[in-house]
Amino acid sequence: MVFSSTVFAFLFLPVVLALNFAVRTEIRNAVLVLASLVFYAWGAARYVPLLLGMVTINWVAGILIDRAATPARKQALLVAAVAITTGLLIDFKYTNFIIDNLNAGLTPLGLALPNMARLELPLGISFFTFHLLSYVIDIYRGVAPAQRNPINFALYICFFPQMIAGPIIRYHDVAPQLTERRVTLEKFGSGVERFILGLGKKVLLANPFGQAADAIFALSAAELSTPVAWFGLLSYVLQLYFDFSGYSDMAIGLGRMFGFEYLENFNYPFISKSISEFWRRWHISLSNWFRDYLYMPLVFVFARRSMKKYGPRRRFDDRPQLVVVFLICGIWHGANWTFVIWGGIHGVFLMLERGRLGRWLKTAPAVLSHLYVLAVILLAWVFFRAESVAAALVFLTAMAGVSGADSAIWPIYAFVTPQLLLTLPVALLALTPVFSSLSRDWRARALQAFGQLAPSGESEVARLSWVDRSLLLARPPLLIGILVMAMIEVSGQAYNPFIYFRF
Amino acid sequence: MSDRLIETFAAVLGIPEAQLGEDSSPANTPEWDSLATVNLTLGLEFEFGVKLTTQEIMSMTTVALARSVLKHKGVAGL
Repeated sequence: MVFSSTVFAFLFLPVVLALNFAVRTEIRNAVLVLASLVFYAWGAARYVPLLLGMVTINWVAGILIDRAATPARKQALLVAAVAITTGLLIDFKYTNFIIDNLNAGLTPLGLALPNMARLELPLGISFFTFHLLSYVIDIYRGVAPAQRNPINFALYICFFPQMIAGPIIRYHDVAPQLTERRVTLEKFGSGVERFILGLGKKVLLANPFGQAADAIFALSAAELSTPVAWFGLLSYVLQLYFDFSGYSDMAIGLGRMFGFEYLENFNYPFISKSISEFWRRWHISLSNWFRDYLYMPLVFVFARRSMKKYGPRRRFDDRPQLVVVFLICGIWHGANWTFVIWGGIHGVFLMLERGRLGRWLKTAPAVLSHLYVLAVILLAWVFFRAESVAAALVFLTAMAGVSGADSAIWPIYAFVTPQLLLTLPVALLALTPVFSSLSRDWRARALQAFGQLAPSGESEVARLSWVDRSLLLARPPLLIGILVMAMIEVSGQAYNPFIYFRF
Repeated sequence: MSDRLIETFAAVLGIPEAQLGEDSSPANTPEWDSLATVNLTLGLEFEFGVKLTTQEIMSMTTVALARSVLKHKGVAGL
């Protein structure tokens, strides 16, 4: 089930919200777990036992790690839990990728391995396995107590707003909210607004650009002219950002409706002036996860070794570890070399930013640093979107203007529809904080502005800039307009899942 | 009187001691990134002869909190 569907918005969500507020506090989490399993089963019923099995194994592992008498035993239990969870992810996601790559070397020797029959990838497996790993590692590190109640633990893993495509919430961030959370009218209202904004991003911005991107990325080398290729990439970038940040807005909004507060997942990534800044603004929950659970342990191991060998005066150089982490981050997205290259590009530029490039970026004119970031992320996203490395190279050749494709076969106006032309300026502005007044906590300000006078006796309204004042007044009708338009779009469209569902 | 803790922070982060205060944190000190956290941990362990746990490292989100962790571990003169 996707958030941007009529069955979710008009049936599932109202029923679950009603149940959530109707039942006693003691059984509220159990109701939410059951509802989340229905949500999951809607699209992937056959994997519910697998999901519950993994929840049980890691719940038991958490308690055993917590109770283990010696550090060695704790470590052994952690290794076992991590191996089982990661093994499951590797088995489902990478078996045939590994076999295919081995076969590239074995086939000439007449030793090719057969591909394994695989069911489709369990929905959300990359995300729920990262939640499971976060839990056992947090318990091992002692940064959160083990969860004794299996229902509360199941809610952390399965809660429908965040189970399938994140945000990836670290256990220690959310643990207190599993037992103690409050929904105020204010919080509920801000959740509804955030959900509507996310729905608008997905349905009104991401989907139209997605259609153009899909059509253009499907063209052959002979059909792909330079302007069409550039427009295809622009469309894909807009689709990806509004799809995923829209999904994240909806997840954060839904969480608030049920009393949860999740950390932000995006913070205007396109205004970044370096790749390291980009990763503090793009898919923040994923970069936090990789930083806390992979980069830091990896760097600590090597830094301690370096300390023993060279003493404290030598500053540790983390560049190899950075690249390794980003290669793994790349392949986490999918079993394809395209994702490895995408991660590798980010890793290499992050590595370069540790040196002279980073020093240059600190003093470079803003326009140059913005252009540098755009060039790197666009190059990397060509690989991220393309079906294969060869297809990515064809696309890049077309972008470079050396493909020799005939622009008369598929002229650019075949893809630039009037709807896209109207949407484009809004979409481009929404990449920047221009509309940030829309997402600020405006309610408190509105109450202040319309309900009270400032200490000076002057109305708060008068103090606001005309932009803020207009947005304040325009916000309620604007949100209702977005909701109505999005619902009209949704009711007429076929199944259209979020991009990150397939990861 | 010089402060060994601030001295260590300044040396590891590569900034003047005057730029650091008790409320310095990764949020208000650009040099204090993930790698600096690792280098700070190792620098503090070496300078004060202690071994920090993950829980302690994760809790040291300001200079003041680092001071309190080290005091708690029995480091004198802080």
